[in-house]
Amino acid sequence: MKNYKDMAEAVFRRRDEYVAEVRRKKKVALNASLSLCAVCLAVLGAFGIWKTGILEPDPNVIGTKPHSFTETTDVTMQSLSGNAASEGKTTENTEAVSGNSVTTPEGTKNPQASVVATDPQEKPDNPTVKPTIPAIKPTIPLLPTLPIGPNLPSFPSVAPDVPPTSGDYPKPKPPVVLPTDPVEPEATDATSENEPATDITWVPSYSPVPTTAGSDHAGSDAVPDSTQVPTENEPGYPGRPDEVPDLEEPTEPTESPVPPTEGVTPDIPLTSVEVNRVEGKVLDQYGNPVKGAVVKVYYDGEVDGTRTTDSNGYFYISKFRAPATIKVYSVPDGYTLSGLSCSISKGNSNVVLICNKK
Amino acid sequence: MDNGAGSYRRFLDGDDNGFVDIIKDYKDGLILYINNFTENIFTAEDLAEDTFVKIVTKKPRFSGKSSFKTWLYAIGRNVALDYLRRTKAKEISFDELPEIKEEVLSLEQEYIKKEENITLHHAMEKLNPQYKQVLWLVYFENFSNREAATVMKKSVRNIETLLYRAKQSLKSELNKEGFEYEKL
Repeated sequence: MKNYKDMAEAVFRRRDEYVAEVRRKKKVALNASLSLCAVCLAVLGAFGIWKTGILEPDPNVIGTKPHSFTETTDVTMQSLSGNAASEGKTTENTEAVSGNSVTTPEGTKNPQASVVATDPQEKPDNPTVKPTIPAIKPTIPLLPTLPIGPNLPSFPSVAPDVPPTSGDYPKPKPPVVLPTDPVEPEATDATSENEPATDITWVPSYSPVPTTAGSDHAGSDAVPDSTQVPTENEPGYPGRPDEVPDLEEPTEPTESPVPPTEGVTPDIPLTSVEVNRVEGKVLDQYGNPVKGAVVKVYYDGEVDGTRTTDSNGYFYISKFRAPATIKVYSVPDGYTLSGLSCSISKGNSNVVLICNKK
Repeated sequence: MDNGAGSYRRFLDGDDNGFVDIIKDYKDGLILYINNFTENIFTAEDLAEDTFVKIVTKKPRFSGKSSFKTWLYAIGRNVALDYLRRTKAKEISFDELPEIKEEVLSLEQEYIKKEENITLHHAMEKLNPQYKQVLWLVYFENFSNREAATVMKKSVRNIETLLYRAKQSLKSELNKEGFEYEKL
């Protein structure tokens, strides 16, 4: 049996062991908790990074190419549609891409500019065009409908290819103007001098405009280059004789060659289309004008025009069929019909009809 | 004032010698009391040591509602019951028996002092454990019935009944051995 001292020593020794064990357990628990906290923080950090997407590839660095590509494709599509519509709203980017039609800041087409733009290295003048240039290459294959683009530099060689281009521009206006076909064959001959002159259809579009027509007549000599007629493709072209030479290239060279100069002149006569027209006066036997007399034009026995004289005895009748016969149908009170009539052929006629005064 | 309470207060204040005094004063009595459960003096000694270790490490609060000795024996009882609950069957080798007897006798002589009480304590060995506990607390530890009830976690009435029956049983055992104990 132990005495009290031995038991006391044993008790305190076991107490110390117990305290040491508790401290050790506390230390282990603390280390475990710290490591657990570190793991939790790491997990939270990783989760946060994953959620915020910091580690995802930077779209500004890697995604630029595809992004620009899509933009360029859009632009090309726009440019294509713009060409089809030929609204002149295409941007500078479209200039670089399309190559067919390029709109200058003034809104006019500049074929040369378009040709230059197709070569990215040649003219870096326009800073805005630069960024789009690299994107053009992939887009070019997307333009199967633009046969002229690559061939533009060699203009003459393009000529044989032109026929398809005419198909590319289905704009109705040029063909519509054709009515002037009966116009002088001389003009067509003149056009044939420069080139085969496939279509002159565009020419008529100018003809309706009186100013341009007049200018063409007068200055056809001064604008020999304008024969190439670049602007024809665009219906909205205001018609600038000065810039005509530049504009010709982008459009069909085949059309341009001659038709403008030669073709314009024959168009102008259009204004002098034959119109049966008659004017004159109704007078009495004394030479005084008769007011209120009814004058009628007869074609094949049918009335084809009627007019009443004014205070000066003047009348004017037009748009009747010829040959016609004109006579005074009725006279005011105080006058009697003479019964005379006058025949009218084509062209203008100036007649004097006489009626008897009572 | 109970010296045990003062010593324990000194221990709580940081003086380990206070607890040495407690061990010195209550070790033998606690061992003999726990021996009533274990019926093995060495196990009782170990359990008594476990009881002191438990007090030293846990430092339970002593409220003073009972004497320190009652509080200490109650803790010793719980430790003994926990031990018995864990071990269930008491396995005592026959080789240990003589030694145990000698140890018990030496402890009895040292703690009980009186020859009559030692004879009485020997006669208690054959009694029911609860009879031994109540007889030990009342006649050897001089606990009142209330204090014995507190330690054994029984009511005072139960302690009185248990004590009466324990005396009758002990008296019959002493009669068998030719002893007559006046106080019983």
